[in-house]
Amino acid sequence: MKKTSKIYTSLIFIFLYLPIAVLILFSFNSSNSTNSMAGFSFKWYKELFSDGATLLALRNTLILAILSAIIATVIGTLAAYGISRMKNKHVKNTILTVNNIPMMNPEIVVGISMMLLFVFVGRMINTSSTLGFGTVLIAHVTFNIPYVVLSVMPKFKQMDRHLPEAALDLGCTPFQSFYKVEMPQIISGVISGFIMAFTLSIDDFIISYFTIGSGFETLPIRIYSMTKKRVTPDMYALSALIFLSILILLIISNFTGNSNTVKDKKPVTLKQKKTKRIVIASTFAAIAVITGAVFISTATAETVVVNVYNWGEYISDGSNDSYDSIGAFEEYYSDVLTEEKGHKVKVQVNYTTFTSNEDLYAKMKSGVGGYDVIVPSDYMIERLKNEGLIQPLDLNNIPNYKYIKDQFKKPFYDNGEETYSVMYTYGIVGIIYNTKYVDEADIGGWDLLWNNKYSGHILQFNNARDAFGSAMYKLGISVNNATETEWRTALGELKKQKPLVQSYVMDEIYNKLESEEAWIGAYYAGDALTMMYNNENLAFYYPKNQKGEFATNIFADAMCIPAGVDSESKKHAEAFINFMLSEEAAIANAEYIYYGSPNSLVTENSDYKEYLGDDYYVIYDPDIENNIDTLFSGYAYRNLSADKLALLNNLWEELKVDSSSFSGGIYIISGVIALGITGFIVFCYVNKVRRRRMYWSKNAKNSK
Amino acid sequence: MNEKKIIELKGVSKTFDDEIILDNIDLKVYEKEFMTLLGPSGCGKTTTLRIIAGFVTPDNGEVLFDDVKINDVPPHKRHVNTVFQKYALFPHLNVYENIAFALRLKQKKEKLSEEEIYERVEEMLTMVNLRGFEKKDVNLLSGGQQQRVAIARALINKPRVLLLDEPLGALDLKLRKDMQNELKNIQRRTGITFIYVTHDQEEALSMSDTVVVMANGKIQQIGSPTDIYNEPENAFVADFIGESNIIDGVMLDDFKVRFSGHEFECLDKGFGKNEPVDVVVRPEDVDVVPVDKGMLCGVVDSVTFKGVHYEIIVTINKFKWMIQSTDYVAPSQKIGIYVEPDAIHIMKKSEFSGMFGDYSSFSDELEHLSDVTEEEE
Repeated sequence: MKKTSKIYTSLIFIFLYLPIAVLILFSFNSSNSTNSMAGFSFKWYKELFSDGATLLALRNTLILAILSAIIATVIGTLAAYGISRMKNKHVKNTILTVNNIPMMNPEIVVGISMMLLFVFVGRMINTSSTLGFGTVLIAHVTFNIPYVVLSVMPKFKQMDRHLPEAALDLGCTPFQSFYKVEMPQIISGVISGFIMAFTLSIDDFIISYFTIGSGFETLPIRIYSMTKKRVTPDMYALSALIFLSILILLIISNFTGNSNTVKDKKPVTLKQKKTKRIVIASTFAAIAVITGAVFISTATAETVVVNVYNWGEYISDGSNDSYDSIGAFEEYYSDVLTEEKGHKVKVQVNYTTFTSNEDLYAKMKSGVGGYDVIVPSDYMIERLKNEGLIQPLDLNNIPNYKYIKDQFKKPFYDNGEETYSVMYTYGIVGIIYNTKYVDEADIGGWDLLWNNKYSGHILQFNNARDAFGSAMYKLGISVNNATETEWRTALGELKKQKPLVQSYVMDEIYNKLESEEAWIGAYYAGDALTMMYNNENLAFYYPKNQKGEFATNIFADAMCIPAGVDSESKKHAEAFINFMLSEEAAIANAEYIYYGSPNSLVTENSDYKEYLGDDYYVIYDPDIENNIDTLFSGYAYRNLSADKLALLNNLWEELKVDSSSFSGGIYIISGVIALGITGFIVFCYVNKVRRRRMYWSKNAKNSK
Repeated sequence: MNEKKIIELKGVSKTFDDEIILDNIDLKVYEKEFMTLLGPSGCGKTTTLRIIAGFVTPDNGEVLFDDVKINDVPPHKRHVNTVFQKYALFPHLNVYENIAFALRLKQKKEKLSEEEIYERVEEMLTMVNLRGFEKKDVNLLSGGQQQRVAIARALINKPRVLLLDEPLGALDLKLRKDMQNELKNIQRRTGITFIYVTHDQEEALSMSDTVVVMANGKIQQIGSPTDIYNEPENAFVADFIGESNIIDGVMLDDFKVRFSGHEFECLDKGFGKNEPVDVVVRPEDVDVVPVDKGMLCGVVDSVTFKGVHYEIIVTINKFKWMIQSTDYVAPSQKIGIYVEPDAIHIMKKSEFSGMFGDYSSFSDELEHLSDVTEEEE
């Protein structure tokens, strides 16, 4: 009995903590591979602390957490004080229930509703950029208050209700009574409430995400937005550090809060209280020191602010001794403005990141505002332009626009009279294959993904548009104008491919191909190079269709200016765009991002060519370079109409559900689970019967 | 009481949630007096105490302290201190700091030195026999020790009046008796007026100068312990204080009363002719005699040995009498009883008539009601 329960408990703990243990282990990995431990090193920790943007986000997170925890603790404690003094039990219970609801509420609901409220109020008082530090602070205070109330309430309940009376009786004013007598009784609840609020605030993502504005980024948001490119191991280091600090805080909060819960009637001695006080004091000292240190490490005439909203890991920001394009712009532009205006002008770029075009769209559409430069992808630019959410650029302010190569100047999404966008990067999908296993004769087209010879080692996109795209390119169907029949033909092709496919993947493709678990998969050129760097057996080509034309998806990300930006800010935004096109910045960004650059200053730079080496000819394959126009006009994905989108989703589901091999597994798993549950019930029942028997037999003995 | 009046309640009433807790109370408390408010749970005694302390504001009436109305004076400005039912010691302070609490509050204002505070605390500790406990954690003290700390804490301010709310309720019997004596001694020594709330009639009788018996939010009787015991004003008082046989009777004339079908001589007068009355006969005042010598006779229902005496229940004319006797009688035996004229006490009929008196409603039952610690608030 005891043994099984012990094993059971340890299994649960393994289940809960194994992922974190792996995370911590890999944060010390000296290589950036997720497959093997190459050796022990603090490399990623060092890298983490040299990353200015991450440290800034950490500082923001700490300020936010401390401020919101303090405010919530004060408000929550006073609320608990009031509630505990209510005479009417019904009112009291109702208020406590109301207090609990926000904790049960899905965060997404809280986040969205807060954003809505803030934007609504912002519109009423007519400000263009409502969201910012203030709103996210209010949001954090709001969701923290219930937790503080919850941890302080029991302390009031436990307190002898005659204590305040005794204090008054001995000569205290009501205020003295509160801080001399009641406060010491509830202080442990207040502190654990504070720590709880602090931790919740530190790792909140969803609510922050919705209520945060431009120019302010918290750590969780920064980490999350780094996923456009793959997550780098310094994020493991950061996550490990966050986990450890939160663990410590929770242990302390348990230590302070738990020792005199209702159940535990044992009186707390003054000595225990003293040690407790020391622990608490040292915690706060530690928090203060860390905050102070972070502040100093990130330490600040007229200031011009440019708010940039870009993908995560999508600019050379000075980490790892790279070129700091943002810092360089700030310096350069502040000199320009200072000279122009005749007095010192400081330029500050608030650089924040988003994770998907749809997120960006939602922010633009909601009228949150406050961004001066955004970097959406092709189809999204088309949509933003059509909905009037971005404005035409004044190319006179962007002289470096002339360096953009002609084939990138009027792409399908922005080919009107006015120019709304300046391309930042582009990427083209190609096929990565392992030369050890794949016959050179088989490569060249999309049909490699359908080749029987490599059954079980082929990867397909786990994403409807890309997966269907591969079939449609193969068959020569238009990815944007296909009829329903053509869509169904593509589905048939994918169903044919299904038995050969090892799995449907997105970012897992890195591991699968690098570890040679799989041999063939399609992905963007820049990412393919990363894999090739980690496994030299991998090779890459741009696929052609049956007609012998290059037929594959190309995407472009381009810099735009939102419609709400006023003419003054627009000028600064254009200066930023222009600077990003300048030689040094553009090259640094291209080297950092490793996707294609549309800038001739980059592609014709010999240092850059040297830096890329052979990779240069992969990214800028002359064959494909000459076909950019056709790729953009004929093969890039565009917005699908709503009914086509619905059709696509249905077909995708049909493909995924129709998986006999998979369903077999499901049955087995459900069977095992059902058996387990039944076994458990039987076990409990048998135990109960046994206990009852023992009880009866004992009773029988006693009665004799 | 010939001393100076210190506290007076005039026509004080209090209602909580439409329930009348105090109904027009008049009460005078004199200096150096040990007054006990006695009554069952819910009678309003604690509320009266809390009104004097300032925790409850009366709806009607006046509270006078030295003839000055103090209805609106907050608790911390009144010259009274309270010993709470569950002590309400401050758990975050040790014994010394608990007792010194009141002095610390005015340390700056009155420029008290540490030495002065130390002396005053030591004086209090000596008084309550707790020297050497200064550094002790109050949470680790026994109930009796906590009680002493509470008393010392309340007395250090040298209040004019000390209010005690069932202070011995949580102690066991032996400790309670000791503490009763000690409290009485402290009161005598310090000369401070004590207002003491209890539901324990024995405690009230043995400690007090004046007992105030309360029921249903009204004062039933105010008097010295002997008055209250010997001359109860109504059936409630007679029943609540000690044990009594309360029988319906008719006052035939002065000094002549008829009950249980027999005419008795008594010492009471001033009632109307043939006025219905309640007759009180204490169980210890009934003599057991042979049937032929008895004024009344009946059959013994039960006999219980109580240590000092036997408790005999006898049914006479359908009324169950309780008799305390040192002589044993056997159950089912027929006995006679004899009652001296001075053992008979006549009371006017009241709202409580008929509620008590028979053996089946003896005050033990009220006792358990009073054990409910949560008093009305």
